[in-house]
Amino acid sequence: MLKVEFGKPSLAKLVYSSIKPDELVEVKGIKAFSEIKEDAIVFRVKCKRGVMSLAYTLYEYLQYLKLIQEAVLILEEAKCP
Amino acid sequence: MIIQSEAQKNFVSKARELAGKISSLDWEDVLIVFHADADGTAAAAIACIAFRSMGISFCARSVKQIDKATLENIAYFSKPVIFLDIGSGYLNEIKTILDPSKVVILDHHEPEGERGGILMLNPNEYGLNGSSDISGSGVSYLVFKNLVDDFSRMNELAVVGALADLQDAGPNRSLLGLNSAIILEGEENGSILIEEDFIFFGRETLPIHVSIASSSNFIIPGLTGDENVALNFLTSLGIEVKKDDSWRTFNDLSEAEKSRLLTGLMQYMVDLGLSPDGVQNMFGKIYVFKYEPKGTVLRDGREFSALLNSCARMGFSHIGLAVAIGEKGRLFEEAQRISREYRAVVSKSLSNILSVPGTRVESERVLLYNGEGIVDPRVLSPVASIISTSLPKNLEKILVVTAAEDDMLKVSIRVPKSLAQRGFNGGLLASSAARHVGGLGGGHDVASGAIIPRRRFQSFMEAVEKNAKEQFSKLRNA
Repeated sequence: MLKVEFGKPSLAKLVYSSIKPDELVEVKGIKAFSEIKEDAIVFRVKCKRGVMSLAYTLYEYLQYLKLIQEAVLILEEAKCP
Repeated sequence: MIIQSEAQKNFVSKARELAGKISSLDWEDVLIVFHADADGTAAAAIACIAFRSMGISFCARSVKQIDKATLENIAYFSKPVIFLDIGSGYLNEIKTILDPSKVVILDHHEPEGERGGILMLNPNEYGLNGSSDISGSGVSYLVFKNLVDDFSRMNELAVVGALADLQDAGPNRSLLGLNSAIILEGEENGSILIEEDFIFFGRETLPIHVSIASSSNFIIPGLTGDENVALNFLTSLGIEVKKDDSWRTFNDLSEAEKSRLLTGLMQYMVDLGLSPDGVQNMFGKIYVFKYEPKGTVLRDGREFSALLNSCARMGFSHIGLAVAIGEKGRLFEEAQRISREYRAVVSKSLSNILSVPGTRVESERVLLYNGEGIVDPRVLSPVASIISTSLPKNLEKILVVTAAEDDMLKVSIRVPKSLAQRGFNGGLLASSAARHVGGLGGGHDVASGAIIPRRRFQSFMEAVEKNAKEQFSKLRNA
C-alpha cells in the first residue's frame, strides 16, 4: 500500500479522477486499485509476479501521479489571472 | 561467443590474432603495467593467470598515470612490457622512451599519438565505444582467453572490470555491447547467472541495514550513511534483521519481505517529496558468479568490483590483484579490511561535501562541489560518482568535484549521459582545461579527471566554463 498526500482534497480528487481509468487495464498476476481518503490517494497492489514487477508497477504509478499533478497545477495557474 | 555487429566481429578477430602474436614472441619474462583501478586490476589478473598457465615469468606493477618518470623507471627493467587499461593516451611518450617492438597495449581509453611499432588493441579504433561496449579487462580477456584452456575465472574478471568502470548503463543496469557477449559466454559455460533484484551494496555479505546505509547507487536522505536509522526503518516495517543471533543479508530475504521493503522505501521517498526516478536505481541486473563461494564478496559482480576498487583507491592494488588471481587466505582477509576502511572514508568525505556550507557553486552549465580540505583525495572519484547519480536526471550540467592533495588539486568530472549521447566529451574537457593551467587530464566522455596545480584552480574553472560553452554550442539534437 502507498499513500500519497496532496495537501488539498480538491487536488487529490482531480488527480484521482485522472488516474482511475488506467486501473481498468488488466495485467496477469497484478491487481491494483486506488481510493481517495481526504487529501490523499491510497494505492493498493497485489502482485504475484515478483518484486521487480511490483517495483515497476509502483514506479509507473508514481510517475503518473507526478505528471498529472504537474498538469493540474499548470491548468489551475492558467485559470487564475 | 555470439557477436552482434561487424565491428565486434572484427575486434574479436584482431584479439585472437594478437594473442597468436604474443604467443609467438617467445617472451620469457614480462613486465605487466596496469592502471591502478579495479578494471586495471582485473585486466592484470587475467594476464597473470594466462602467463602463469603458459609458464612465463612475470612481474606486475600498478600505475596511476603515465609520465616520463614512470616510463624511465619501466625502461630500467629492460623487459617486454604489457600495458593494461592504460597506455593508449600516451603513445608518443611510450615509443620515445621504450623499445616499441617490446611493448603491447591492451586498453579501452581514447588513443592519442602515433603507435609506431607498438602492438595495440583498442576498441575505439574499431568503431566500438570504449566507455560502454567493453572495458580494459574485457580487452585483456578477449586476447588472453585464447592462450589458456579454462578461462572461466577470466570471464568473471572481465565482467568485474566492466562493472567497476560503470559500464552497466543499459536498461536495468545491464552491460551492453561486447560486454554482453562476454557475459553470454559465461552463462553458456555455467559460471555466470543473471538475476534481477535490488542492487543494494553487500547483498551477499552485509547485514541488511548496513547494506541500505552503504549503498551508493542512489542516496536516500536519512537512510544513506546512517546504519541506526536504516535499522529502525527495517524494524518499523516488521522485517527481521537477525536469525539465530546472526545478521541476515539481503539474499536471505523472502519475496514477501522484499515487497514489504520496496513499498516501505517508496512510501518513505513519497513522504519526503522525492522524485520516483531514484527508485529505478534501486533495481537492476545482478551478475552472480556461480563458481565462487556463497556469502562472499566474490559471488556478486558488483561486490567483487567494489573490493578491487577499494584496494586500488587505498593504494593496495597488489592485494586486489592477488585476490583477483584467486588468493583466498590472509590477503583476502586484508582486502576485506581495506574495503571496510575505504567505505568509512567515502562516507565521511561524502557527508562533509554535502553538509559543509559553501562547497556547492552552480553556474549555467557547470555544477561545482569544491572538496578542498574536506574530501579525501583517494576517494574523490567515487564521491563524484555518488553525487552524480543523486542529481535530477533532467539536470544537464557538467559536474566538477575537487579534492586537494598537497600542492595539487585533483578534479573529477561527470557528464550526464544525455549530454554525452549528443556529443559532449568530458575527457576532452578535462584534458583541454588541465593543459591550460599546466596540469594533466583525460578520460571518457561521461567520466573524466584531471590533476592541476592548486593555485591555478580559478583559471582551471574558467577554462572548464569556456570549453563547456563551446561543446554545448556544438551539441547534436536529441
